[in-house]
This record gives sequence, C-alpha cells and structure tokens, in this order.
Amino acid sequence: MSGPQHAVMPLSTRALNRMKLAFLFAVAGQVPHLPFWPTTMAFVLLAWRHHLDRRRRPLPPPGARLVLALGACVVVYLQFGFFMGRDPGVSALVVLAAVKLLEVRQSRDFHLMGYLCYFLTAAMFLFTQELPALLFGVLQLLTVNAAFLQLYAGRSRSIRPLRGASGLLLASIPVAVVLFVLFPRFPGPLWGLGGAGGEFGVSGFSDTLQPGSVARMVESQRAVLRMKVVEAELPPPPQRYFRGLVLWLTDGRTWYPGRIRESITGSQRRARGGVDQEIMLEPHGQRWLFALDYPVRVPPGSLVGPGNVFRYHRRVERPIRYRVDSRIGGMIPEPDLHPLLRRMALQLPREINPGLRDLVEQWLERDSDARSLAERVLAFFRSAGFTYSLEPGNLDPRDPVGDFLLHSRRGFCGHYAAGFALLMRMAEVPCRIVAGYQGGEINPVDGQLVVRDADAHAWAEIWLEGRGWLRVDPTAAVVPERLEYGGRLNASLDEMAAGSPEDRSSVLRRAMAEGALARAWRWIRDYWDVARNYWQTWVVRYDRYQQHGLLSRLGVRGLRSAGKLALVLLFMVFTWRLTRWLFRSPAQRRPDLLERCWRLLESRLSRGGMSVEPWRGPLDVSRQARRRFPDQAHTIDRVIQTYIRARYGNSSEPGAGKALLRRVRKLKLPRRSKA
Amino acid sequence: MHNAIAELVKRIGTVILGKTPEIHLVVTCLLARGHLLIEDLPGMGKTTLAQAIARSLGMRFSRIQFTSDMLPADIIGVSVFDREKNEFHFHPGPLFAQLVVADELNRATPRTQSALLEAMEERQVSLEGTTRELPRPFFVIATQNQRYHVGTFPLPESQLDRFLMRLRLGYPDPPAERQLLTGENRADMVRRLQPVMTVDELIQLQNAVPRIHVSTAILDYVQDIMAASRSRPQQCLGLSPRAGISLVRAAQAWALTEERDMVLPEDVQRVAGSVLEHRLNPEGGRQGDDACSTWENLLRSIPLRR
Amino acid sequence: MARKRGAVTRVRLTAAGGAYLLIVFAILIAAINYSNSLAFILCFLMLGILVSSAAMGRGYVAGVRLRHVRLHPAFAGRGVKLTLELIASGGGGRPALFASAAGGDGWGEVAGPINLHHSGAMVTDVGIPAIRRGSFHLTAVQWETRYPLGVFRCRREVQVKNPYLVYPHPQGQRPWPQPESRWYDWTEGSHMSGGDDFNGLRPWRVGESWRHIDWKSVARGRSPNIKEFSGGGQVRTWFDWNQLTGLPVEERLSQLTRWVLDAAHLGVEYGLRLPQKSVESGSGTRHTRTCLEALARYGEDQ
Repeated sequence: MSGPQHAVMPLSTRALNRMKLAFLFAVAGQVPHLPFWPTTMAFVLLAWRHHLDRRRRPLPPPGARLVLALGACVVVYLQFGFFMGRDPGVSALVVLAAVKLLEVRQSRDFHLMGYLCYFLTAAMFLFTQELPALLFGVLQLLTVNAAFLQLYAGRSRSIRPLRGASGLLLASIPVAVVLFVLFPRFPGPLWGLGGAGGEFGVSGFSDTLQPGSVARMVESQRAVLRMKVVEAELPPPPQRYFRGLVLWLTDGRTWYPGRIRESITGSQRRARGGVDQEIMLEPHGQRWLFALDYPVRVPPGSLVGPGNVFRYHRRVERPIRYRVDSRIGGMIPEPDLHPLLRRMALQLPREINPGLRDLVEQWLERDSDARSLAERVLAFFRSAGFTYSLEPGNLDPRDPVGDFLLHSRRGFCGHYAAGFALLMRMAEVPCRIVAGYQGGEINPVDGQLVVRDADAHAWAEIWLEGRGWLRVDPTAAVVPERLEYGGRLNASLDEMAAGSPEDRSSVLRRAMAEGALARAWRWIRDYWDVARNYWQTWVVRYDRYQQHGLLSRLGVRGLRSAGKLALVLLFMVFTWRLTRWLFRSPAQRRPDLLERCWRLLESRLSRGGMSVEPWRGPLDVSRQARRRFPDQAHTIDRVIQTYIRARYGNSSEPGAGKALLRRVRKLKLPRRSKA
Repeated sequence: MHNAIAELVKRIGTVILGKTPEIHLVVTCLLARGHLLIEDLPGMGKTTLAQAIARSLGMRFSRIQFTSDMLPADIIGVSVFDREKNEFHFHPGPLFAQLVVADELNRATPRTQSALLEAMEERQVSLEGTTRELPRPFFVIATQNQRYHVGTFPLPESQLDRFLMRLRLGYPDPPAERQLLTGENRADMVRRLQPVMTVDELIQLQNAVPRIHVSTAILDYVQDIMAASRSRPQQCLGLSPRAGISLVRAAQAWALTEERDMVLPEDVQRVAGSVLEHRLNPEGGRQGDDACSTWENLLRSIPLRR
Repeated sequence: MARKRGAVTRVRLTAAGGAYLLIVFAILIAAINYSNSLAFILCFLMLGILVSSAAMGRGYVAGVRLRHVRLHPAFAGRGVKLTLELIASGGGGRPALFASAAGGDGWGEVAGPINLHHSGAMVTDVGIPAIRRGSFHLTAVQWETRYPLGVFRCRREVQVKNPYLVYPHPQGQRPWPQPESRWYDWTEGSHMSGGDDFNGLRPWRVGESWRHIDWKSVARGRSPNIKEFSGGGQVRTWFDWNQLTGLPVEERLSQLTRWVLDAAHLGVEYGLRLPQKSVESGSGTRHTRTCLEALARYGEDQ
C-alpha cells in the first residue's frame, strides 16, 4: 500500500513577512562589503514587495520580473565590468534573490528564498571572518529558520518560531563543534579567489619608502601584529625592533627593495636564536613577514630573502600565524658581503646635493672607520638642530634628502633613516634601510605584545667589514624616548625633541597620563584584542597544525577516521536527544480528578461497545448509555449527575471527586455484545 | 423544565402543532431578552405563534406589516398638534407593545429597518428630543422571506447580529398537518388561550437568567467555539465577541427552561444552531439535504474538556 | 473509538531536504576551498540543525495520538468522509498537521492543515475513496508534518480496523414505480396538482407547467420529472428488485438507491424488496438508513 499524496502547505502572510525579515538581514550583511547599487536595489525591491503585500496588489507579471532580472545583471556589470569572482558573484546573488522575492507565491518559492539566504550568509563569510560576522550570520540563520517554522506552523497560534529556531540551533551546536574540531583540513585552495581582493586594504605598509610615507600610518591605532614569546623573556622595549623589509636602492627620493635572486642569502641560518616568538600577523596584502630583529629560524612555508628578511609563500591576505626564532641584540654575523649586495648597498642617486658632498668630505678627512663615521653622523643629528616632527613641511621634491639634511632639519624616522643611509653610502660605507615596527604595548589581559600601525619605523644598517651588519637607528639619536615608548609618543615627539631634558620628562608624563575615559577605552581595547586574538587563533586560523596540536592535547591524536566518524555520529545522536529534550511535550497536563472519572467512565462504556463522541455533552452521553445499558441505567445516571454537578455546578462539594471515582470504579458494565 | 415554562411551551404547542423544539427556542429567546428572526414562507404560522405567546403571557401584542413605502414614523409613532390644548401630543406607533411582530422586515427600506433595529437594541425610542422607554418586556419577532428577492432590502450582516436567534419553522410533519386540516380554526384557539403567567412573573424569570451559573468549563467551551470558527479556512466569517455573549446568554436561558441552575454543554449545543447559524452564514443559503450545516460541523469539531 | 493495532513513525527526506543537503555540501566545498572557518561553522551548524529538525518533527508526530474516528456513511463514487480526533500530549507549541486515511479502496486525499484546539485536540474531516459499494474496514490513519523546516516529512501511521458502509451509487433512469395507495384508492390516476400529498414522479412532458418539476433531480443531471400530488391521503411505494429486470446487479442496486433517496427527499412512505431481504414500508431517517444499509450489504451473506 503506497502512502497518500502530500498536500502543499499554504503560504501565510506571517511566514512571508518573516522571510522578508530574513532576507533583509541577509542583504544587510553584505552592505559593508558590496558596492552601493546591488544592495540598495535589493532593499528597494524588498520594500516594493512589502508594499504590494500590504496593499494587496498583484505581484508584477513575469515580463516585468524578467526585465528587472536583466536590469540587475546590467547593474552588476556596470559596477564591475565582469561577472566572475567574488564581489560580482555575490552582488548578482543579492539582486537576483531580490527579484526572486517578487515572485514568491508558494511554499516552493519560499524554500528557494530561504536557501538563497543561507547562501548569502556563507557569502558574507567570504568577506569577513570576524567574530561579529559570525554572530550576525547566526542571527541570519535564526531568522531564516524561524520563517520556515512559521510556514510549517500553519495557522497554529501556539508556535513561537524564533524560540523553535533557537532551540534547533542550540541543539545543533554540539555536533557542529565536534565536526569543526575533527573535520579534516586541507592545505591550499582548489581554485583561486578569482579576482577578489583579500581582507586587507587598510594597512599602510607599501614596499617602497619615501621619507614622508610613514607619516600616514602613525595616526592609525590599528593592531598589526601580536607577539607572544615562548619560553623566554620578552626583550626590553628598546630591543623591540620588528624587521620587515630591507630597502637597497634609491633614486634620491624613494627607496626600493630591489630585485635580488633568492639564491643570494645571508648566513644567519647558522646563528643561534634565543627568543622564540609566536606571531599573529594581520593581512597587509604583501608577502613579507615581521619578526623581532633579527630572525634566525623562520617558519615553514616562508622564504628567507637577502637582507635577512623573510617572506611568505604568497601574499598575506588574511591573518596568519607563525613561529619564528630571533636573536636579540648584537649584529647579524656575516663574514662577507656578496658583491652584488655590496654594489646595491653603495648605490647612490645620480644627482647628489654638493652641500652634502662637502659635509661627507669633512668627516672622511677625520675618520675612515665605518663605525666612527656612523657616530659622526649621529652626532651631527644630535647637535645640528635636528628636530623630530610628523609634519616636517614641504621638502624640495627634486632633492628631499638634501633639503632635509641641510635646511629644514625637521622630520621623522623615514627622513632620518634615508638621510643617514645616504650619508653613509657617500662615505663608502655599505648601508641599507630596514622598514618595520618598533615598540608595541603589552596587553595586560593576556601579556601579549601588540604592535600597531603607529609603531611603524625605519632604521638603517651599516656593514662592518668581516663582521656583519650593524643596526643604527638615527631617530633614536634625536628622540631616545621613541625607543622606550614606541608609537604612543608620536604625537608628543615634536614638542619633546625641541625642549630641554626637564621639558622632555614633563611632556612624557603628560603623554603617558590618561583620563578615566581613555583608561576605560584602553581596557575595552585590550580585552577586545585578546578576544579577537583567541578568535583568530582558534576559529579563523584553525588549520591542520592547530587541529593537530589540539587533538594531541586532547589526547585523541591517534584517532583514525573511523573513530572520528563514530564520534561525530555519537554527537549526532546527542543532538537528536537534546532536541527531543528541548522540545519534549510539556508533561501531559495531569487531568484533574473529575476528568479522570470521566475518562474512566468513557473507557468502561467503550468496553461495553458504546462509543462516546468527544463533543457529546454529559447529559446526552447519559441518555445514550441508559438506552444501551438499561440494567445499569440508574447507576449511570447517578454517576453522570454527580459529575455534572461537580464540573458545571456552582458549589463545589469537598470530596465529591473521590466519591465519584469510587463509584465509577464500581460500575460494572456488560462487555461488548456487538462489533 | 420549569413548571410554568413547560406549561407555556405545552400550551403554545396546542396551537402550533409539531413544533415543540422551535417553540422551546422561541421561549428561550424571550427569556434571554433577545429578539427573534424567523425566516419562512408565508402561512407557516408565524403570526399565530406570536399571538399565542402574547396570549399565554398576557402581553400587549402588535403586528407591523412592512412595506417599501413605510417610514420610521409609521412604526414609532407621530406627534400631532392638538389645537385645543395648543401642544403636541404623541401618538405612539405599533412599536409600543410588549410583543411586536415585524412581518417581512426585508420589504422595508434600510432607514425604516434601522429605526426598528435601533429600538430593539436600545429598548427606547428618541423622538424630537424626548426619549421614550419602550414597554417591558419588549420582544420583537421579525420575519423575512428569503425566497422572493425582488423589491426587498436584505438585512445587512451587522444588523443580523442584533437578533439573538434565527429560526425556520418549516413545514409541519404529515400528522400535524393533517390535524391542522381537520382541527378547528387556529385564531379561535388563540383567542381562547388562558395566560400561564403574568408579565411580572415573566420579568422575574428574565431576571433569573443571568444568575444561572456558567462554569469555567463552559466558558472554555464557548471560547473554543469562537476560536474554531475563526481559524477555519473555509469560513469567511469568524464569530464576533457579541456572538459569544449571545451564545452564553441563550444557553443560560435554555438551562433555565430546563429547570437547571447551571449551564451544560448541551445547553450551548441546543441553542448554538439558532444563535450562530445566521452569524456564520448570513446569506441563509440552503443547505444540501445530506450535508451537515456549518455550525453542526463546527460543534462536532470541538471536543469537550471533561 | 479507534481500534488500534500498530503504529509506526517514519521520517523521510523531502525534495526540499535534498536541496538543503546540496546547499550544505556547496558551502562545505567553499569552506574547504577558501579554508574559511566561518563557512565551516555555518555548514556544520546547518548539518546539526538538519538532525535536530528531524528529531523535532518526529517527536511531534509521535506525540500525537488518534483518539477518535467517526465514519460517515457514504455513496459509492463520492468518497467516505470520516472525522478524526487527534490529541497532542501536552498541547503547547504545536504546528499544523496533515492527515489522511486508507480504507478498502486505498488512501484518500490529504486533509489539512489541521490546527490544535486549546485542549490539545485536533479534529478534522478526511475523505477516503469509495469506488465500490459494500462494507469495508478503515485500515490506516496517518498524520504528518513537515515542521519545522520542511526538509523532513515525519509521518505516523496507525493501523486501525473500523468498519464502514458504502451505499451504492444513486443512479438510474427507470420510471418511478406505481405507488400503492393506502387510504384513497379513488384518487389513483387523478393527478391533481393542487394537492399536498406526493403521489410519485413521472417524466415531464412538453407544454406542462414547470412549477412541479423536481428541480433538485434536474440539478443532479437527470431528465426533468414532474412531482405529482394527489388530493390527500397517504401512498406507499414499493421498490422491488424484480421490477428491474434486464439490468446488471450493480445497476439495479443503483436504481433502487436512487429511488430510496428520492422517496426520502420527498417524504413519502416506501418499502424495499431485495432477493434475500425486504424492508417493510416506512419513512424517516432511520428507515432510509435501514434501506440503504440493506442495499450496501447486498450479496454479502453468500
């Protein structure tokens, strides 16, 4: 015997409204990432549909919807010029779903709409993987599911769809967690992101350095990286140089890294490290990685380049985490310099300010040793009225370095590093510029060092024949406090560099003092940083290595696939049980004594072959029963009369129920005579 | 059944033959201070019924035959200028009676209809600034004939709601009809009817109706009926709260006629047909012969809480 | 009362559920490809919700009991109507159900959505097909829901055994049999249209007044008949199996049923004669039912 056909659930206005809400949320999730037009168009279509429903107007005809769909495609095409890839893909999904909303009439369309909303949630995660995104995504999931619940609840008014959807979600969390932990992770994509940009786009670091370029970044408090030192002491603030990239070439205005074959590398691999760091790097869209100066052992998947920098195997387009071992203090030991690198480290711009030539000639007359020359330059910076300023004023665009060194003498790290490097090179001392970060703050919540954009820094390294590269930070010669306090001082450094030592300390105090509001803000930021860090570590960046580490820590490293599967199944059963428990019917309302009497009477009568229809009143039942069981007519009548008085009457006699129950129990009716 | 009421029903039954359930309902409607709408063909004994009731209760009776040229003043009454006394003198219309039979109500214009319906609702008449109380008790039996539509103004749904009950007397069964054919003139019989109770006794009975106990179980049941009528997809009209109130009141009156001091589900079920049918199904469309009527289906779909 | 024998609850993935799984799979592929943890989370949550929605739907239909079945007799070809009373344990927060039943001629149409009354009970009328006349048993009643997400169809099927009758299909064009007059033999043949007592039906002839045409039967698609009334008195008609020679068994039964219904509608007295059984003359609902039952059960005893 085959089962019956299924009737289609009629679509109710309430369900439709819930689906509209779900779609509203789904599109709202795309607003920060998509261009203006697709999302706006979706909102307009949604509002239109709602308007039509409220006014009970007919939906637009198929032709109009087709035109709208084509229009939507044109909008997307005009916006992007192409259809492939993430942004245009999601935009098209948004607008076409909005057009689809205009024709939702039956439960079938309703389902399609809900599924499109699921997709939109997934699409949102392609743009951002922050904690708020997950929370909003879960909200979206809840609203879509609530819409489905409303649909299938029909006209039943006792259903609370949002509560039901929350219960479903709650019950599904255990199995989702287990799956998340156990599901095998694969390295690398099956296909590329297809023209989509990464998650970065805010970071300021480019791979070139103009003396003024750092100034843009020092205003930003965005965290760039977090560092945790494993089994070692965090180096003191002046030692916290984070090496990023090395700039070799200059044209007098801009410094470039230059192109160097990968085979020309330093000899740092042989050096011993000492500070093992775990670094969480925010995406910046370039390949370089940062580490405490100077890194000796670099993480797998990254390459060591000349200049003791290391690079990721691809652009950093999402937060990554790596471990790196660094040696703090001292020089980068290198016995000899590759001739190509030497040439690059001595490269000079074609035109050099004659004033500078005179200056260098003077120094060279007295010193020839690289180290003493460097000291001489630093002394020059200290004594010749150089000040630190984030607003150095306009420098001569044809010769900014000469203008800075000879005339304005106002600038910040980029200016000092560039000026120093140029002077050293003119004195035939190989010199290069290193760009990275210096400073950082310790987050009191988890003790990790947080480095921000404001900590961006540039310094120089000079080559000491036969020994290696030595770091020289010309900025520190002007404002030593920069090393101690990092980027937090930026705003006050101008003032500080100009003043006397007493002034400096008072300015410092003022700069470091903060009001209650600022403290609260810092507190929130610290906690938020930590939460974000955990989030990034354990959720967003949960990869093969994290999985491996976690599983071995949980002691289930050796679990085979079958074991994992069994575990997942176990939790599925748990989810099943949990749902049953969450939605267990409220314990059967315990019928009161009178109802029990009546049910008992009913069953007695039914055993005697008399069916009591549920809508029949007691008098009718009594009449029916007396006709059917004439011998017991009197008893039945008395029982039912007592029941009636107790159930419908005005006065309640105490103990009436119990007496009644006894009487019904005693009632003996003949068994069924006729089928 | 209450002695007097039983006697009343019986006595009317001697005139209107074979219609005891309907008479019972009419008396219930009267006790519940409701008004009655009878939909039937002419000659089914509506007037005889009204006269019999009026006689047996000693009520003042008047009959208004509605026509399309009737004005509100024709039923309410007019003020006529008295030359001698130099003042207006009010001549009360046929409405000022204790039992009013409004024949073929749907022939009257909506204006006249609403004058009557307002008077029914308010139990008073406002004329030229003075409010005149209608006599008590005040019971209107309106009749209309749905069969002939030409030149009629069917009562709107909102007005139908003002009648507590709608009844159909229907054809008498063959034995009763035979007796009618052979028996004596009904009008003579009515004239010979003796009052069963006085008007005061009737008012006392009417006052007793609200005191009939309505238990929570009954209130639950009535609420279930209301809710079910509203959630039925095939039902375009749900029952209004007024319908619920009317149902309870009619059930109380029925319980009183059964000489009970509490309402039982049966009381609700007995009156439900006449109280709810015209509210659920205002068109009065004819039911199919084997299909159960709407309200019956409704009741059957609601299990009692025991 | 429903006589229950066994009950099974089944959970089956619907087409919408298949689509849901496809979407979960697509999101999973995207998550793997982009190593997107949040997409993984979404995908796994959706999987978990799938499991828990099955549990929820199943728990609901399993928590509903069949408390009462009431079968209404019906005519072959029209379908049997039955009233089900379902009761949900607990009551609170219950979605609409769809119900259907199966009888001697297979499953009937699905009725619903049915909503819960405050007391936890639901009452609905469902139909089962009735193609043949005779006595049958209701075999199964089932109710189902796609609640909560429409991805699963959870249904509970209860085996029952409730007897019901299907009357023959009322059909036939044979003329009304000659009535047998009880009191006023002299009125026979005098078709006075002004009388009150029904005398029978005969075909309408062109030119006759339309006032006495039995319009109801015309509406049922039969040729117009004239209702004939005699000046008074009581007539009695016998519907006899043997009057209908030359017709197959079922058609004879159909014709007899047609007559019985017409007679019941017109309120005349009539009797029924079948080969094995005859019903004495009478009128009223109960009498009609007896006649119809006899017709439905014709041939059962052999």
